[in-house]
Amino acid sequence: MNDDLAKFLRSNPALVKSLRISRLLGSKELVRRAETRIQRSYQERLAINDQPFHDELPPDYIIGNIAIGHYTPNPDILVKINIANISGHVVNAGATGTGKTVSTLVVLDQIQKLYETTNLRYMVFASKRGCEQRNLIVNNHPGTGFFLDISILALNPLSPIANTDPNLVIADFARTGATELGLMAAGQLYKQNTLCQYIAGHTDVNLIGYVIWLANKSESTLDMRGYRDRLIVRLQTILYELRSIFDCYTGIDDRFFVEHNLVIELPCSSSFIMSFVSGIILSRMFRFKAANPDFMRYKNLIVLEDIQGGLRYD
Amino acid sequence: MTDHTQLREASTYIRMVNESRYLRIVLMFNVQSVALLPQQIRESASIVLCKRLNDKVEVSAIEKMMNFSSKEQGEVIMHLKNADAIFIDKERGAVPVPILVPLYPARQVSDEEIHAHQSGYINRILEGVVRERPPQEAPAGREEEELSYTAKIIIEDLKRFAFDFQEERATRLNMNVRIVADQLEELVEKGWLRKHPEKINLGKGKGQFQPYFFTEIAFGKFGRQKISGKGSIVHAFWQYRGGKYYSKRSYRADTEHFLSDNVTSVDLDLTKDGEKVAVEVELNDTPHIQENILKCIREGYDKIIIAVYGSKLLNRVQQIALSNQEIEPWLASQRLILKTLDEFLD
Repeated sequence: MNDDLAKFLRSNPALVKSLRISRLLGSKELVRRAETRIQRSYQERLAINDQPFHDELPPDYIIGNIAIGHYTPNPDILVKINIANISGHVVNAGATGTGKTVSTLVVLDQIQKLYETTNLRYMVFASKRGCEQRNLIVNNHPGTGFFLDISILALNPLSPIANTDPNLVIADFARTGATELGLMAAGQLYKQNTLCQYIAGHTDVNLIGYVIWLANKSESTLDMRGYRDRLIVRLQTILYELRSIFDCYTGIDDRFFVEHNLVIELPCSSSFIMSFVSGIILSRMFRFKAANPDFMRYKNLIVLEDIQGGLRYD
Repeated sequence: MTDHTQLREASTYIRMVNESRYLRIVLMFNVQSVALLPQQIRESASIVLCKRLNDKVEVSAIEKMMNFSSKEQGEVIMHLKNADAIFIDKERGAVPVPILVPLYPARQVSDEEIHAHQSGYINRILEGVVRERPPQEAPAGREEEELSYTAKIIIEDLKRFAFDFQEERATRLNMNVRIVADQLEELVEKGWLRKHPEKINLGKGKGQFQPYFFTEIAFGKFGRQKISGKGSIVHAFWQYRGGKYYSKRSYRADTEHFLSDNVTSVDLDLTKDGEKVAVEVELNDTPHIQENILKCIREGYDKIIIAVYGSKLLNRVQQIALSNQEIEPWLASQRLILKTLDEFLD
């Protein structure tokens, strides 16, 4: 037995134990299986340690403001990222239970600790299942991050945005959630036209008012009636689950989505609804930042937890 | 066929992926399936953090994203431990490196703890967000109205026995049938119950049955109404009546009994003194009637009863049975019994 294997066995006592038990039982078959298992685990470990990521660590990887993890061959070295300079996006992939959320928490925690000294801010969209993000709030100083649930979040997708043409807001909302609502080009146009008509005739505008108005709207052609009915049914599906979020008359102040560290918990497990709500918040945030250059100093990291179901287009 | 191009243009995120660079916004996608991510997102990712993936399709998708140089690197992805990850920053170096993600002390945090932690601060940031809800309209005085004792026990009875006849209900509750009928009508008027739009035909000269169901108000106060069986209301009704009829004749009746394959089920499974009987209720002429009979035969029942809606369907089922070599002997030996629903429970 070589030294490496002995070291490997010392660090994995469970494997040795199963081999000992098999020997005690005196079953050749069990011993053979335990030995095979040890061999396989050892080979896997070798593959991870020596092969195939054996390149030198690029020196850029150790410069940055946010540590993402330890370099496996030398755990004393921290691998860092510089969020302030990233121009692309981040993809964090892995099967269930492999620690996607943990690595997110590690990054967000550091952003929250830098609250006073930088303009880095994060926003997390989490479904009811993944409430680990609540830890971020209670593990850090009060006032550096906030947890919003359905009782606090008030969302009016039709309310005006500072310094922005209301027609752009309508156009954004008409497109937002089009995929989630299953609307094609003509359906989107219908949504946009009816939104314009609704806003022209009302002062207090909100999503629930729009759906009620749409339900009473008379349409002359069969096509239009089809668009109307489909749109109502799909919007009602969302309102059924999230009525208390949209049941507001003054709406959000878009500033606080840009200025603060936020964890937003939506009471649903469906990524279809989650992507609808996060889509609304994000599109408004984009418009707000674009129209108010003062807020461009903030660098925002938006975390979309388990969103892939809502991103599909087939 | 769905036009993908149109929908792809419409997706909120894909628009944002392109615009966000100018607005200093970074999107982080935490996903289980990389292969499902749209092409634009995969291409625009500059930092990729990959944990263990169990699927080869996913691994091949991540290989392309992370510029892997050899196949062995892909295989490592499938054997990573929970804290291990492979990291690549395409803007700096573009070399995939293995990293160890430190543990984060996560635990269950209650609403109260969150509230205590952020109270005082949350009001400050929510300044300007005033939730003014319109006054709730009182639901036409229904809530205040107190139900009579008789009405309450009738609703409770209806909750458990939705498909019982008025006479059975009256006997069980020790009431006059007339009073039960009047109370049900009154509850419908007050909005606690609703009548099923179609009455169920019980057969020639036997009249019709009117099912009553809970409205949302009754559901809110008394809970869900128990309706056993599956399919349409008429199907569930006949399943329930069949079960009740045979239970009285000391059969052990089981609705929607699963067969040994654990996938298919028989409408009603009856057992008495070791004799096993299957009952199937058929309301429409569908191609699966033959399958339904065959699955009962293969399951090893001693007797099969098929109750069908109307004499036309009865003839049709008879033809099916006679034309099938496996079913025909069962019909001849009277182990397969065909009945219309009119005479099903005589």
